[in-house]
Amino acid sequence: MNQLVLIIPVAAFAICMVIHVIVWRICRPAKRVFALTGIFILLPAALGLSSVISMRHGLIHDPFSLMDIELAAALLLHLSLAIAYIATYPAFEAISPSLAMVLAIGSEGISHKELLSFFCDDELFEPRINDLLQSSLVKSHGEKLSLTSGGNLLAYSFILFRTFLGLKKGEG
Amino acid sequence: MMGKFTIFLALLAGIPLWTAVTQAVLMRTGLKLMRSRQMTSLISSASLAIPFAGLLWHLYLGTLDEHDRFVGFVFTSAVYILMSYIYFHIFNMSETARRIRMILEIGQRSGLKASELKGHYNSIQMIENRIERLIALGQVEVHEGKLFTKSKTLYIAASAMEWWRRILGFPPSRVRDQGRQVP
Repeated sequence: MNQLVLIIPVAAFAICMVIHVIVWRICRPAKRVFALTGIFILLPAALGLSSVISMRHGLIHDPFSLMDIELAAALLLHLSLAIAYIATYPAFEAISPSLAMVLAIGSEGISHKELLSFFCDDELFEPRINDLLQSSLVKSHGEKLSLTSGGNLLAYSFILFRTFLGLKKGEG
Repeated sequence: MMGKFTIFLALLAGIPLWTAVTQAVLMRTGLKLMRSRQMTSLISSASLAIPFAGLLWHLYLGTLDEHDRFVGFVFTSAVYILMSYIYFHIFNMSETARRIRMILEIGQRSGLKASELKGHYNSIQMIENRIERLIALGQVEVHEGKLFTKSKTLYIAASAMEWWRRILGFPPSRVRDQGRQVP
């Protein structure tokens, strides 16, 4: 197996990461998961595809001489890295209570009561509902919330997934 | 050779699916009794790894020379670990994510007032659920009524996440620990 199959996706992922940090520091987009999909998946896919087409037609020099199937392998590794990062990203934005709890407990330990006092209903509820509204998964009509078609699709996907595993819906 | 490589890639790309099938089978044969469902997901990934490694070796890796085999091994391991991580993440979201639970509740009730939805989210109950899960995962332990970290794994992950938040330009998180700011 050609070692470029490892080097190209790692380099592409690193470049995407630099673009992501610059964009986030200059102006954080409102629909962040869509923006991440654009930076980590659509942008490299568009650049990669146009480069491959240009190289195959002799418009630009091919420095790598990779076969199509090796390019597919490189794409698979890049997609694995990109999806793993996009899946982890929401935890950076609204840090998971489980991780926050582990940090609060620290090495010195903490009483049950003290730990509970660090979390209030608003802190745990509002950032999540705002995120759902911003991501267009939920829409509001006055005070009433309902699902968008994207939200419905996501809900059915998770119901189907958990039914397949033989589980009830999550406890949150 | 090319055909085998294509099948090899297709098998690797489908790891989340094969892991879901493995977990569905294991959940129906006794794994359901485990306290930590996240652990059932990790066990499913680990159980799949051995037969999968044999299959991939037979299909492609075993046919390569020594140098190519090393690159192939690194590639296969990286994709396997990342795909397993993606699956674990999807499973964990279905299990614990409040966003997903909110979506399910809004969908089941065909629309819901924000105040009604908020009424279902009691921070004490959520924190109690998480303490139970952290104990079941071996990350936290209780001594004389106090909680202590038992393993550094999640602590290191949480510290790394806080560091990356700052690189991305987010302000420090808001949960307070005896007067100092922690996420």
